[in-house]
Amino acid sequence: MPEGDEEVVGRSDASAPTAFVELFWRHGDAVHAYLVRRTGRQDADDLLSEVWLRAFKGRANYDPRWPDARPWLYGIARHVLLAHWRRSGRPLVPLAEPVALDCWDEVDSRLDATGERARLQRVLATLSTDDREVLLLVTWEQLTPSEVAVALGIPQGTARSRLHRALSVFRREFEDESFVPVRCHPKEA
Amino acid sequence: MNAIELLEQIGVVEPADPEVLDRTAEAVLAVAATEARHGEKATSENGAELFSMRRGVELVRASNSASNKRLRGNRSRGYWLTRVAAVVIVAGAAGGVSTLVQPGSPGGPSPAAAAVLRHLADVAAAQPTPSAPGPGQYLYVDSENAYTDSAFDQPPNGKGSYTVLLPQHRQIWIRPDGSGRLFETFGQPIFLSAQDHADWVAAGSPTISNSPSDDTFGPGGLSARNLSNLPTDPSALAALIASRKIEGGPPGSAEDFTQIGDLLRETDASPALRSALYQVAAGLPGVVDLGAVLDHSGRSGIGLAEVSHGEQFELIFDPQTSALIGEQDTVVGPGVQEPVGTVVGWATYIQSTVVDSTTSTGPGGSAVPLSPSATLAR
Repeated sequence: MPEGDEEVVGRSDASAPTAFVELFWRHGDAVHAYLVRRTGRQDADDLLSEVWLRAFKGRANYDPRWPDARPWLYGIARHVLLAHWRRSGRPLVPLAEPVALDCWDEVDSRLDATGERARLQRVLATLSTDDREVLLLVTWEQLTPSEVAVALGIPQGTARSRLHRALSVFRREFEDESFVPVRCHPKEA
Repeated sequence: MNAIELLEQIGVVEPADPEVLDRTAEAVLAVAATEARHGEKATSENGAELFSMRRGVELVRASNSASNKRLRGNRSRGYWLTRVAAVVIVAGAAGGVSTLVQPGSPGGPSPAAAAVLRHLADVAAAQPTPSAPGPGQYLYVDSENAYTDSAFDQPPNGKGSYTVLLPQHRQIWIRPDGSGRLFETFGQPIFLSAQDHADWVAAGSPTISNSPSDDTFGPGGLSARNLSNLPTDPSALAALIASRKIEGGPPGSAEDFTQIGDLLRETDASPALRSALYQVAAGLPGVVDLGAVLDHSGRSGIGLAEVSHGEQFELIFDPQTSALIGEQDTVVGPGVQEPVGTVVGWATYIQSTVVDSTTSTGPGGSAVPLSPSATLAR
């Protein structure tokens, strides 16, 4: 049985903070990929250390019930991305609502490469920013809805209803297609 | 390839440059080492220490790639339970469209629904304005609701796919800054059909997790909305909602209706704001009047709904106060795996009040102590 992430974070308390770097070797790649998908490789390379330093500084907030640190790390990465977009002059939503800013530019350019751009872009464009964020965490980061709830700091029911809405749109637009495979941990079975 | 697979494919990226990873690891190590030096186990600050840690990093990394593989291997095995609502895409479009209600004409609002909503707006405007949460206070909302969860065996289109409704009792305490507490307990899963139950048995009757959760949140942890800045003039509010500046989303009146629901659900919307929201809804094409309905707990109310993606999303209002007392989602068209008429979600709002602490349920209410296992989630 490999050591769970919560044990690694636990070991990295005041007595042995350098143990935290093991968490980086476990999930550094995944966090980097999260950033690349949303903001491109160059920005991802620059932002990666900011995410991890914030994670290190905030490790006391880690919930020991989480055996997998990725949802927590993606939540931190999202905050770093939002701050980055704010700095680079992206428009902010006027109300004090913690809504995700759009990752549309990068998603757009990734769609270009597939030749299926028009089709998928049309469907993604009908989703709200929040619904799309949940869908991308499930399809790209392979999170379960309960992990999405941790990453976004929203209730499980909200995560599920957002995913429900997003997948409903896909169901509607791709009725000739067969299935939506969404994965989750075997432990939830 | 279906759309989700296509989306997954787009998400595949080249791994990070090892140099970038090394640089980041060094940055984390440097900060951690600084903290270690200032901690109880103060050690020397010379370069040799950093050098040895650097070597340590490489060793950890080498041993860890193997354990990573093991972890990933585990993830891809066994029975996969999705926490996804009942939206499994069914091969082939279903036949005739059957709806429970006649949607309003696309060009304008349904006259009946508009009249009901204008009446509700008048009722709302006549309600006394309750005090908003003061500094340190919380909005407390108590509700019962149920969501659908689907599970399927691997491969996904194999046998063993089933859907359940998971009822929950939800108590939320929330401050305007998003801090607060969320306490949820779950009931027994409800199978949506005998076939669902049979498929669950065929899958080996796996446990469907429903252990309670109790979390407290720091600022920003819960989705809070500051509604005090919203206009209560219906035209201005309609324009703001349609511009998607309150909440992001696609264009269209169905989304407008959804966002109106979002502004009513677990919020402290004032009577004036609710009145304005109902007037905005009265101008939306596609909103239908369901007349007198019962919510899931049997309370009578006025049902108004919007139909999209084969489901009817219904909001239920108290005729006396115009408050939102319940919701119900019903299958009305093809494309959803459940038959037309199946209720695939509901909510009943039991109480909404301002309280002084995250264990209080208001005057006369019994306290809800934090569970021993409660943690600070964020």
